[in-house]
Amino acid sequence: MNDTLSYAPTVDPEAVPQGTERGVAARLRPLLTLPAEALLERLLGEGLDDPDGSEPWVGYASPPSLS
Amino acid sequence: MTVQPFLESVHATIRTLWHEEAAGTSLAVDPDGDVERIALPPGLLDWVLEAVRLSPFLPLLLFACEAMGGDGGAAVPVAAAWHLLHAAAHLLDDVLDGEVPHLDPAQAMNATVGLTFLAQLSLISLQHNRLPPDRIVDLIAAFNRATFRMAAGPASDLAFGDGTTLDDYWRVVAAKSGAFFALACRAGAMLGAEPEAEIAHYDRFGHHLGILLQISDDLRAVWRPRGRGDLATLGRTLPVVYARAVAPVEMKSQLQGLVTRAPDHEAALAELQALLNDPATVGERSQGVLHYVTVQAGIHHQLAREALLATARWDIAHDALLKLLDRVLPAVVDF
Repeated sequence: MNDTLSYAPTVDPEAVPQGTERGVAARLRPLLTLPAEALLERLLGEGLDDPDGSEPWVGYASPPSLS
Repeated sequence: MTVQPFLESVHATIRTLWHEEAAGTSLAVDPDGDVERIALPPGLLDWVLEAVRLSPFLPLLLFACEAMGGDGGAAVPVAAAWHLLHAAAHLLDDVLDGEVPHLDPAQAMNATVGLTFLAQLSLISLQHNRLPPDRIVDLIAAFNRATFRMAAGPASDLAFGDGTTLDDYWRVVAAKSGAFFALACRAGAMLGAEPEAEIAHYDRFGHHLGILLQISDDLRAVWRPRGRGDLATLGRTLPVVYARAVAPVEMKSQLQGLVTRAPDHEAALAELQALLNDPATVGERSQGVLHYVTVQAGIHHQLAREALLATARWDIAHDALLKLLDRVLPAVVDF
């Protein structure tokens, strides 16, 4: 990864201590150097998986009609 | 207390509270006991209760409480209140996004008010848990502050629409998801006996966890949309907002056109996904969309983790909080 490339800033600089972004980018370097498709697969392929189909991070079925 | 009995207790608390309040109202207003005529829509309670068992977030309150040395039993009515508020927010979001065509907006808005005030009643029931009255007032204040802040989130969301800038995005996400999950962890932590400085670590943990969850949801909305609701909000997701912020002028109009057409045209969605994957979209001076989103997710994961590590104690509840954090987007944890 090229360190001279710029990131857009997050809105609250106090919430993200200086150097955090560079440190995280360095730590995630093996992930960030994957081809785009492989990176996307890594991001989507885990964690949000729901083996039982219940979409665990949603927690809600469609609401009732309420009418 | 372990997670399953905790969730069962939250389920029972909401159910009892709902029926007690509905019956109380019916006796006062309708001596004949015609509850159905004055109750909130009957399907609403089932929907709220079903979500208790599906929610992976409710244990946050238990873990934060126990991490601070609090009694897990006191976390039950607080978690019930948080869940009712979560359900209200979810309902409101569905109406705003037009996600559920069969949902009557007026009924849904009415239901959100009912759920919000039932949450308040759940907090008031803490007086039976031997919690000091001052602490109960503090908890109610924490809920009301977070609710007020969260209301500003969707308002901004609606105002910015598809013109959301990157700064707007971070402001809205902090006010919505950040504030909501900060509330869960703060409220749980407030049930222990530690000072505010210690509670603030859990608040910060929840704040960054909430933002990480939103980033994760945004990725899914673009590349694994669950329905029309996700597609209708594409213009407000981090991948699109970032691309719009850094893309060359000629690319921006193409991007906007695809965002507009994607909900109704599968080909437009596929083209949008490809465009967001293409490094050329953002120009030579900026990080690619996926790189930017990944690093931002990594930042919020790290800040949440640091907040937790800054707490004075460490026990099994902290491990559980960390495990929950790591489950949100494991890709940014493994490396």
